[in-house]
Amino acid sequence: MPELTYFEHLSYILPEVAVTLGLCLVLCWEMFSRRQDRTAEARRARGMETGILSLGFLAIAGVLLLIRFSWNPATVFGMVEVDRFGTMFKLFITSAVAVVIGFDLMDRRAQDDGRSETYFLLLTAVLGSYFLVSSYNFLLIYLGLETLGLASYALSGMHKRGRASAEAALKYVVYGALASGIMLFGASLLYGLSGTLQVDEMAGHIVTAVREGRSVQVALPTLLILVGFGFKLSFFPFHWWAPDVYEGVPTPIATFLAVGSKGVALAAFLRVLAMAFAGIMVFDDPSVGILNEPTPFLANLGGTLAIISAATMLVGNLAALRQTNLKRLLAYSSIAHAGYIMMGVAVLKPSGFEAATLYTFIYYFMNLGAFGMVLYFANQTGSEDIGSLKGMGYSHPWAGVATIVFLASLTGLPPTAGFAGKWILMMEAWDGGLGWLALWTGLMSVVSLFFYFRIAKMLFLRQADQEIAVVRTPILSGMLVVLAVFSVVFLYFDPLLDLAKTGINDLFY
Amino acid sequence: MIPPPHVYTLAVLLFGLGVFGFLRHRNAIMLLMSVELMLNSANLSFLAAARAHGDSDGAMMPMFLIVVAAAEAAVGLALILILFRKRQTLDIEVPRSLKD
Repeated sequence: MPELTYFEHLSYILPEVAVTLGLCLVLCWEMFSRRQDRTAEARRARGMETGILSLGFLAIAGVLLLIRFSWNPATVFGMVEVDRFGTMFKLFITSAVAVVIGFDLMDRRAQDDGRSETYFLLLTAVLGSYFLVSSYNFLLIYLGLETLGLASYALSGMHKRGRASAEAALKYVVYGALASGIMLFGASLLYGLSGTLQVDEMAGHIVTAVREGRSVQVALPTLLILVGFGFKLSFFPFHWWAPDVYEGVPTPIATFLAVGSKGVALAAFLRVLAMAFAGIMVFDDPSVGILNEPTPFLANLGGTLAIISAATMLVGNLAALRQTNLKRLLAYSSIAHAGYIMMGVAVLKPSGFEAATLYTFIYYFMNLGAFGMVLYFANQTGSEDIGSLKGMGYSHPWAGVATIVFLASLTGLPPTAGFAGKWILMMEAWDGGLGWLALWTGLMSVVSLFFYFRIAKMLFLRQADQEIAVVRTPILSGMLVVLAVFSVVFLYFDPLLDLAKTGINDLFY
Repeated sequence: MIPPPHVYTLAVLLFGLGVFGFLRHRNAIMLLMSVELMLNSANLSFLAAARAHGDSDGAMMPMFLIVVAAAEAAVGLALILILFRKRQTLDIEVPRSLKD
């Protein structure tokens, strides 16, 4: 590869530059625009301006990312990998945050104070995610994770006057700091083993250590690093913060934590796993045939991940059964979905990682939709209780039908995308020797039917207690319908699968 | 010069102390302090490894970690202040407006 000049390096990270400029501008906007004007209209106008400004910069970053998708992979500034896997997840987080900002602008219960700060923090989180998903260097991975983390902590605490926001945010920051501390200690052990912070250079040392029977030296740091990612992905036993935090924060922020933050953490996790353990994984390389002998270490790692996956599905689905708060219910549902995604990771093969990536994309559509639904009905009734949905399906047919689609997709019923994604994950687990896990997933999906359809029952099979005036929110309804179309249609399924394949290819071959 | 194994031992002890402190206490400030201990043990371990390998990357790591830990403490303390004004307690298990 020819040496790149400084400006060529810079041209690879223009999306990051665009987001950085955007967040500076959003932060400064309030200082320079009619700050003395404290009337409600002025504050609302400022919120709207900064929201549109942030959306504009996200759009610029998105276009730059789309252009970079066809570029050859390169390492810039020695640490940042620009490849299709990273670009794909950067597009994922960019669009997710754009939707979250849209939700926030539509949120009738949000206070107009502090809106621009919310957008500033969201853009900061995007910047952190960009670096998180595109590096093999533990320093940059940690900094990305912390930039994302600190922005998320502050976002959860922004809702100062809310009853539970500060409490949720404090729990989040304390346990989040714990998880990142543990992960960092694991990284330092791996650094001690190999003498490098680059995961790609560590891989050789890891393979030697495992081959020579010193697998404890690898297993311990791997477990510690698993804690750090496990916290962000909220899988068992690091899941308990999620319900509290999701319930305590405003709905748009919960959407961001459930979809955006989880998606990029998964991307970084896959990247680290793929790079560190590709040398000992057993899979068919089209050019070489089967590469490696199975090792006990690999079997134990896969087994651990599979047990975590099964336990995560169990706690998520069982706890969701007795929830009455919609956001708490969706928090447990998103924990269960982390379990489904982990099933693909536990196979420890490129095909399993593809299935996990594909399911993450599908999860994106259906979960954005499900949280959008909570926001929509909370706008109408002012409550996030499941009982407040009684009979709302008839007065809000579009949102009601869209909700049914999201619920069916989350359960994994055909013909939704959720079904296809889950089916592929189960097939991968079955082929990868985790047949019991595939059957377990089937069982858990049946359990999840009960609580998802409690929502549907409330919407369509119960009579409303009293008439509630319909508030028209055409933009939000439109967003819900679009997301619902994406959660059901099979047309885009092949391109999505190809996308996941292309990305994972960049990691392995 | 102190040999790296000694530094490692100290790092592991500090880490254990941090974990113990975290499990033992419920006061939010004590929890944050325990986490700081764990971060510092990671710093020591990075430095010991950097010296053992004669590599400067690991020695650079603590610089970043200290800054990040300070930022984390700032956010944590801000939230602690908000919570204390509301509830007059720092026990993170007591304020129970969030439960199943």
